[in-house]
Amino acid sequence: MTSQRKYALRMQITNIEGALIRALGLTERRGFKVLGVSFADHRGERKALELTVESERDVNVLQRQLEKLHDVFEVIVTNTEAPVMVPVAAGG
Amino acid sequence: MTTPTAIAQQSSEIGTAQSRTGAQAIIEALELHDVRFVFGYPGGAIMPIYDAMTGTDIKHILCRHEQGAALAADAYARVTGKLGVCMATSGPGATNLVTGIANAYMDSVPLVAITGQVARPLMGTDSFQEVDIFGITLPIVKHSFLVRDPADIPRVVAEAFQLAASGRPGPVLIDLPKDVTVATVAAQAVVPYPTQSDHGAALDAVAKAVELMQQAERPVLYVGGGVSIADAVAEFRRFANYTGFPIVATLKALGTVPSEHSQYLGMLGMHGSPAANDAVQKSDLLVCVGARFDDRATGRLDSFAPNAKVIHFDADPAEISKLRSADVALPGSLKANFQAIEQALPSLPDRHQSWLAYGRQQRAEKGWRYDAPGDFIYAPALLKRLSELGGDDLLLACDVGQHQMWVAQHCRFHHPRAHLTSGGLGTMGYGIPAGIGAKLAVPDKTVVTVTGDGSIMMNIQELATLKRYGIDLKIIVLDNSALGMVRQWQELFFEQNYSEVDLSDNPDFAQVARAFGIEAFSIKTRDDVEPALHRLLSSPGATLLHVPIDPNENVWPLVPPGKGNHEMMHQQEIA
Repeated sequence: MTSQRKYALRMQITNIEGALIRALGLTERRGFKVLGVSFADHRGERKALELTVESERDVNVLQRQLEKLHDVFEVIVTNTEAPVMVPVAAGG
Repeated sequence: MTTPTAIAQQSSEIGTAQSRTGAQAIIEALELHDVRFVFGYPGGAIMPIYDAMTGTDIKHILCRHEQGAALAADAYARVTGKLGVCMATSGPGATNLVTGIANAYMDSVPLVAITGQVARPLMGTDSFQEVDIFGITLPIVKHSFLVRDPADIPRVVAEAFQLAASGRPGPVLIDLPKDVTVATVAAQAVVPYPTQSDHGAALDAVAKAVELMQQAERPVLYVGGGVSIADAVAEFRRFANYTGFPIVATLKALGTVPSEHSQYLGMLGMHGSPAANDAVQKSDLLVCVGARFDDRATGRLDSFAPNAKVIHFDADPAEISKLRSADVALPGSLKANFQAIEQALPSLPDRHQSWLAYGRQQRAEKGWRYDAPGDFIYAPALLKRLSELGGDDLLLACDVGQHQMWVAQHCRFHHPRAHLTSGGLGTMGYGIPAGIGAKLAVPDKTVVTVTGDGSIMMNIQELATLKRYGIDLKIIVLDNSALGMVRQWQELFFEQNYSEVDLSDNPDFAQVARAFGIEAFSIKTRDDVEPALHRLLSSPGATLLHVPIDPNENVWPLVPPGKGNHEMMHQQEIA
């Protein structure tokens, strides 16, 4: 059994080409399944991005990795749900 | 390394220049950032930049493959501590840079990669030599820019240089559509890129670290490549002497303290020294400095240093508690944190002396042996002798495989910048381009590339670069007619089912080198080693020494995959 948790994160991203896909790509590669994306239509320098993710990994590590991105700011973990026990497939 | 303040000033200077093309603006920006060498390969979409480069003070090194260019720039950066710059055209030129960019990313090397792109109206139409290199490289760059407005060029270059070199360094990509580089760039004021502070950790964390260091009975300093990257080798040595703790090093940290240092127990990890792994496994405090708990260093993570508390120094906060939870996190400047600890730690109890003596005893009892049976030339003995003959004047570049581990085990390094190795990515083909970049960086040093018969073929075309520029690189090919490390694993872990590792149809490497205009010779016996090394090191120009070795020789000791560092295999166990 693995312990999956759901998290909600809110951040600001620069309103430039590649910023959104960079943040989403990092999130998935670092082991977090993206369950939901909310992306405000904003014409200013920055946009608000909200993610709902699920993982057995430490969300604080993801938070710091997102904060490293040059076009991501103010990453906040807004919600943490209780772990959901997920059976591991045979051989997994 | 160019300081942020200088960059800001230079950005303003760029902004006051007269109107010129985007390509000229790029070249001016490179000159203002004191770029001496650009490693690259021209092509259609980047032709305006190559046109603008002629007649400038920038020395372009035409490599024979873009991967060679990126890897040479990587090595130049590692040796100098300055930025490396590589350049390629769109499409295949850009994709050929990818391995070099990933290499720099994995080893935190400040690299700026400049790529040509098809003109803006053609982007997104699958035009000739169009690839989305911006998208392709997103996961392997610290940051990237696709410049759609020529006016952005000076700011982007300044920002790219600042980002690549600051904090934890890494590669930055600048993708330039062709019509952007031929467009006129008006004179403009450039907003300086904000500088980053060089601060250390919070005082309460420092106090907690000091408390753990005072309480520890069996502490170990676990040093990684981050120390050299932060240009903090001298500060680390002082810190290490101050603590008196035993020291173990990662592959990238070899030379952070000299091999003969009284506290040094060797490299830890898969092919590390038994003494180093033993000390880590028995430690009750691991002071990790600029390392990242890489799997080749830790072995099975859940059995790594099982009883140790962890103090983790790192310039990159995201590395702390990524794989091993830290009891005390010390993010930020290593230098500032060393200083803070020393100020807060007036003295340490003397009880570590017996612990250190134990480590030294282990190191002495389980040291390397060079009396290998058989008639084949014994690579570890050859490398040890090479290191002795070269002394502190020697800089070694490695490829990847068994020879890379033998270099790590048997050569002595006086500084981590004297050892160039592809640590994170493990890039076969790194050795010759790395030697090129290194020799251009420090022409007065003796630079030797140690490669294998598998690795050399990955970038053998760069022998032409050596010849073209008269680069005095020495090359040693340790030839076991196999992909040795893979063969070793197939022998030990795949029931000797040797699959696609035989290279007995290798070309005659000495003849190949001569065909490129490089002096070359081969040896056959152990008695040949000493005169061959003298001949190699005293030859006036680029020279290749071909050394056939035992095809069945393995790298020992070894932590098997999936095992803990306390479960090392030794040669005698399978003899």
